[in-house]
Amino acid sequence: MISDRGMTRRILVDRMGTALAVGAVITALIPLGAMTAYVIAQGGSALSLSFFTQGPPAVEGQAIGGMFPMIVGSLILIGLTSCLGIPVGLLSGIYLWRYGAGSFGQAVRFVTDVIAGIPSILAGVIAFALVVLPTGTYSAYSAAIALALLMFPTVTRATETALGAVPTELREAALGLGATEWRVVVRVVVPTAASGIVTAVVLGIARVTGETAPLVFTANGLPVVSTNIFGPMGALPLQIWQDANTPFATDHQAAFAGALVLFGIILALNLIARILTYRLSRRTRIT
Amino acid sequence: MERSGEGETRAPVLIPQVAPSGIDELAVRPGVERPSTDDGLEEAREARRQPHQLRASRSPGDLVMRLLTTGAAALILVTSIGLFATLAIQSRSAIGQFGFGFLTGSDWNTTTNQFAAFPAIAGTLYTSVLALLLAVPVGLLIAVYLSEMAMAQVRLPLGFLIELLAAIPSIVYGLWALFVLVPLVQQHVSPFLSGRLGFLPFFANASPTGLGILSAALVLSIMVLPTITAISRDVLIAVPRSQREAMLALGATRWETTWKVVVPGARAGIIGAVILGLGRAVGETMAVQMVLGNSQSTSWSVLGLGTSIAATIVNQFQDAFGGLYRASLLELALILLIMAVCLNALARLLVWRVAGRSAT
Repeated sequence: MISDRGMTRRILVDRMGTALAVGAVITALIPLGAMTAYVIAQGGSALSLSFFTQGPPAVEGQAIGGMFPMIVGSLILIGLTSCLGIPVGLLSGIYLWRYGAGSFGQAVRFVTDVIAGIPSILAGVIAFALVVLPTGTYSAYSAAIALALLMFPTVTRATETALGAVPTELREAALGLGATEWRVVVRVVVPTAASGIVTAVVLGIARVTGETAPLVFTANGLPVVSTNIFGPMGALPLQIWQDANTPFATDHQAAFAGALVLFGIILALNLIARILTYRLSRRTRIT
Repeated sequence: MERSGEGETRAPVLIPQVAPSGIDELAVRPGVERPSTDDGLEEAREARRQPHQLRASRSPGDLVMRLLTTGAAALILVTSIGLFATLAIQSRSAIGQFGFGFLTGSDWNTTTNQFAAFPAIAGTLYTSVLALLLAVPVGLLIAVYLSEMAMAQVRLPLGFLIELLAAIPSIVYGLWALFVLVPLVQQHVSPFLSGRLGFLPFFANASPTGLGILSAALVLSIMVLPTITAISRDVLIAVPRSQREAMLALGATRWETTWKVVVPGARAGIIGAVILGLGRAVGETMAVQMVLGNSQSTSWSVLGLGTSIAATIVNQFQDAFGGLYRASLLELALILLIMAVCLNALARLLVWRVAGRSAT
């Protein structure tokens, strides 16, 4: 039998343990809350309409200026990256879901997860070695190649998960009615998992939107609007980094304004993904 | 389709087991004409009325789909080999010139064309391990809280918050660290540590700016915390409920159940989560580069300046026009790639073993 005193001690330890765990949550929330508050406060005071419509100041340190060329550049880069990364991600996701039970599928799954964990700077180094060095110029499309390398693992695994959530009964019913394999996938499975697949794409875009390191020696940055994907291009995260490294207070303010914009975009993308996931789970529930 | 059952169950992840030959069998089997209201099945029914088209069940469409998807999957494998090959080939002159001395030497001199990676490797490992020492206890306790203690109303928002924090770009962490954390270290932490404990080699020779190993480790610990927490939580949740119930039925408290049954049961996965956190810390570039001070030197002092592999690359790669200089930086990249791949592969295997392949 357990003595009363032992029992009291054990309950006390249990209570203290719970308090410790709650304390850990609070400990983690302090720096994270402090960071969010600081970025919102600093960025908010520097943010204005001209931030979205103008370029950097003509003379550095004179004014906060805007990041219009970088916002355009970031949009172009994300579009280009999506053209490369999303098809590969979706198709390989379908492969893993449909044919991926064997050892080849297992290998692809494993390699995808490992690539998802490689440092983003390495994607930039690879794109530099393969594209920038031979062509002799920094270019937006080399940056897109680097970013696509970071984007596709997220899309691949999220697509596989989304398709896997589609009830087998649906496929079996369609196949039983005589539909061919690819029609079942295109007309039944993919539409059912549509919100999950959109989630995969949104998460993929969120993954690369804030990436800075792969852009340093690929897109390299440009203070004016450019739509030439074979030349250097500005990007929002890159400009934040460059502004942070100057000695001018106005540049620092611009960096925080940029960080706040980036923060908002990432938050929005993740909220969209979360809402879509919720809709997928309602739609594919075998209930 | 008939719908029944309760609403809260999560949709199960089903792995398709039907072989293509089995599907052909299904497709040609005569069945009862069933009324369907689903528009997507209209064409399927049409196809069933025409048996000759069913022969084409090994239809071009099926073949195209199989080829396309297999091609994409194969591309992934080719890419992964290409990563190694590119870096290995491009850095071969440095590998040939310096050999193993590249890993152990500490001379990084662009004027004499002498390059060695020890300061960068040591700085990478030092900051990362320090960051994990800070982040692992906190992260594991939060994971325990989320999986064992928190109510659903707390668990879901907190879980989303953690995922969101993992998604915040490292440039934002770096910016905050540079303008808030570094001054904090400079004005308060560094004087305190070097004043009280300056006789220890770990706290000697404080840098006057606040930049350095400690600042980098602090920001890294904040950055890897979501990774460690989220994966630890997933593997803790994967421990069967019956084990907890058995322990509780024997009279154990919740705390005892957690540490004697649940955590040991998920041990492999938790180690995987820690290694994955290490993998992220090792490769972190922007935030570290902004606060580490970027000095090609090695010291035991956490208050001193340092460098890391990623920081060295991002600082110097643009200016590296000399062949040997650039090859040395590419060899650094190759070392980083090998480190990251080993850590990630190990972590994935451990996490898969506990939480299944679908765990992120």
